[in-house]
Amino acid sequence: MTSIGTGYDLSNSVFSPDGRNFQVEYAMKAVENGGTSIGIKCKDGVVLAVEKIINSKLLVPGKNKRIQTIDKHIGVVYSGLLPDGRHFVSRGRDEAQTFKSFYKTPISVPHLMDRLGIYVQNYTCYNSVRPFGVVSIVGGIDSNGPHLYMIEPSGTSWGYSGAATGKGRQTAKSELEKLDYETLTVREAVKVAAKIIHQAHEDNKDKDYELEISWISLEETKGLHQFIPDDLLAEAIKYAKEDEDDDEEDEEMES
Amino acid sequence: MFRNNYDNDSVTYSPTGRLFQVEYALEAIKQGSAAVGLVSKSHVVLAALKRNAEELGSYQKKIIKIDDHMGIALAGLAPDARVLSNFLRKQAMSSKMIFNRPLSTSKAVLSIADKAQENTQSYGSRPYGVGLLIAGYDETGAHLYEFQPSGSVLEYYGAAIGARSQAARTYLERNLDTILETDSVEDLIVHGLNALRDTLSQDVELTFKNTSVSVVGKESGFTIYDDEEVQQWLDKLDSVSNARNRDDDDNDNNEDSNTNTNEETTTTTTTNTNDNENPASEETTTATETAPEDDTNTTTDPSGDRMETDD
Amino acid sequence: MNGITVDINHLKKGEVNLGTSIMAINFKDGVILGADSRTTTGSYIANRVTDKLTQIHDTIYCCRSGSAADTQAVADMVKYHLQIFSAQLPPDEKPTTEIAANVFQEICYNNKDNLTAGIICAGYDPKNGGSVYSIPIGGSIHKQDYAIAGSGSTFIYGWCNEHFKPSMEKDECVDFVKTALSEAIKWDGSSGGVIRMVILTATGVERLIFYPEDYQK
Repeated sequence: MTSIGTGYDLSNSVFSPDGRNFQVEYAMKAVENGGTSIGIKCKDGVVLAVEKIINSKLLVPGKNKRIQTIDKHIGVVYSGLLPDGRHFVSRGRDEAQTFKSFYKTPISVPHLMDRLGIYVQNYTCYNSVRPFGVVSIVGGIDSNGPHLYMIEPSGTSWGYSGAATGKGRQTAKSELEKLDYETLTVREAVKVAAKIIHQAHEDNKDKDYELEISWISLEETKGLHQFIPDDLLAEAIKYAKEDEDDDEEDEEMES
Repeated sequence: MFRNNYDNDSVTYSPTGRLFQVEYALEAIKQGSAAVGLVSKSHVVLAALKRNAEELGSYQKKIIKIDDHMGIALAGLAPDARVLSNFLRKQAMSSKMIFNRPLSTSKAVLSIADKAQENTQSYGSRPYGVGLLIAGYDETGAHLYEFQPSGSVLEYYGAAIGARSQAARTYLERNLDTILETDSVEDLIVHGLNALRDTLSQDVELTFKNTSVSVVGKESGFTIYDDEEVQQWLDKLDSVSNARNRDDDDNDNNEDSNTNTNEETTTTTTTNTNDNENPASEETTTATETAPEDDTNTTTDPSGDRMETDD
Repeated sequence: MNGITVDINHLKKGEVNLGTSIMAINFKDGVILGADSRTTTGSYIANRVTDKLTQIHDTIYCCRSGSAADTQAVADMVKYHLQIFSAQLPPDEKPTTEIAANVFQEICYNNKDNLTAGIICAGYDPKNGGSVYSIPIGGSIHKQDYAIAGSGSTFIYGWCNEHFKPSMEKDECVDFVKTALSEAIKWDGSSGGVIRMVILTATGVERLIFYPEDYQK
């Protein structure tokens, strides 16, 4: 790595001669080994899912949730340094509430992303702070329909149809690319998400994982961000593990 | 001792995305004596090993009451724990005053977690140097959380922090099913003390002076048993000393040991190929490994604890 | 002032007052705002051709009553907030009337002890069509099919209630506003001058003006 030893990577907010901020790049490294998170934007809503790595069998199953809610209609999942993720969510909630108390109307997803982008970017500008060690996938529904965004430690955020981050992101991305987002419904996407996380877990197979899925849809959840019901989760897990050997068949079923 | 350029403060990432200052803070927990926590359906038990600086000195308090329904056990820097417990007490009081309702365990834990996270992302303050086990009983039942200076909190059925805590975790994992099923508070405490006993070095025994126990649950508010009061529980143990050969045991059980720190992230970095950024760990651990066992201070469990840091 | 009853006559000596007749009403294609044009300082008419219909955004307007200085300042503030807000919207989108009205309400409520401002905020946006919000002194907000306000409005409550119909045609609605305001002007000493109207629809803004000889029967 050319960054090491030059001294340009020892402090945040410092450019190297070729115009890079190494501390931001290192922050991305913290993300790249985290459990895989994905988001799928469907015609009628958004599905978020995460591969929650279980490091100890003493952990209480089903607790220690990784998907969080920013506002009633907006959910978020992230990979990387989890405490940083909670900081991010907490700021998101502040922004959403500030907006709502002034304009008396829920914040739109793009506008929230604008505000959070500014906040995250700020943490790349000063040597007294470090960039966020998370990549967050934010999904929500507003008056303009479903939205899905992914925001990086640099503060850049892009809109996506299918987004993936964390250790298994490459596998997940190649699966996400096969989906038809014009026709996909959230109910279908829940199963697809379970399958993708299952496939992405191949990259981290030595550890157990727990699957967490949430959705937002006008039909299914009245526009609220919620965890999917237990029976649907069980069904999705079953589907994901169904025919682990023959991947070809599943892909046909998905599209 | 090795030094590297990336471990001076908590606002600098290493090239692999690690925060060494935060990881070192996690090491501070292991300098403290062990604390163990475990839950049944209706109760949470904390058990901790107290230390005294000298023979005639008093023992450092290890379990702190937060409210009638909540308490913490600590390992690491006790002053930091006092800051956090004072904060928790304020939270608990304002919850009662504003909402007329006891503070929920999860909210309590997240509030100090967010506080700890701030210290890992800005220059000028250090991360907290203490690990906590938070035991609480609220409207959603009995809960046990582990708090770490990284700002991570996780809910456990059983957890152990501090020196040689891996041995206690091993005990808890082996007996998890019976612990979860037990209806008897007494059994729960005995399991807690058994786990704690496994963290002892060979020349130390559990006594009513060095052992603290607390219970919180459905009918009972948070109660701490210290000194003479703890003897009743010690009497129920088959032995008060660590019978097993600790070193062998630890090496056996490294595999499934992980108390994760920040994240599930850097599991792969245990074997560090990059000399330049390899922090003190390798060197220090070998140093203490060869040193004679000294339970008052440098109680390090080289192999088991190494796993913890790097995860 | 005790917070429950609000003294609307606490203008400073010589402060310019919009002793006023204003109204806004939803109709089939959007919304019409109407106002007289008299601004008084005590018994002196400071301006006899005032424009009390102030643009907040492309197709969002407000009718101002109360202190001229206060309402101009509040309108400026809301205008500023809406500019900031719309700059952060996608390029093809505009703020809704609801947003503008809520900002009016927020400012009027937070500064209620220092303001004499009775505002009607009305506008057209593609999502909701025409909408009318009344933000009277005190800083409450009321969504209505039509709203009347100002000192002259007291004289036309009954007439408006009797003759209002939802979804009127444009010409019918213009007549409604013209008749209502002419009556208000007739009976209220602090209202007078011309009748101004703004019509906000999908096609944009249309302004009308009626001179005393046009509206006096």
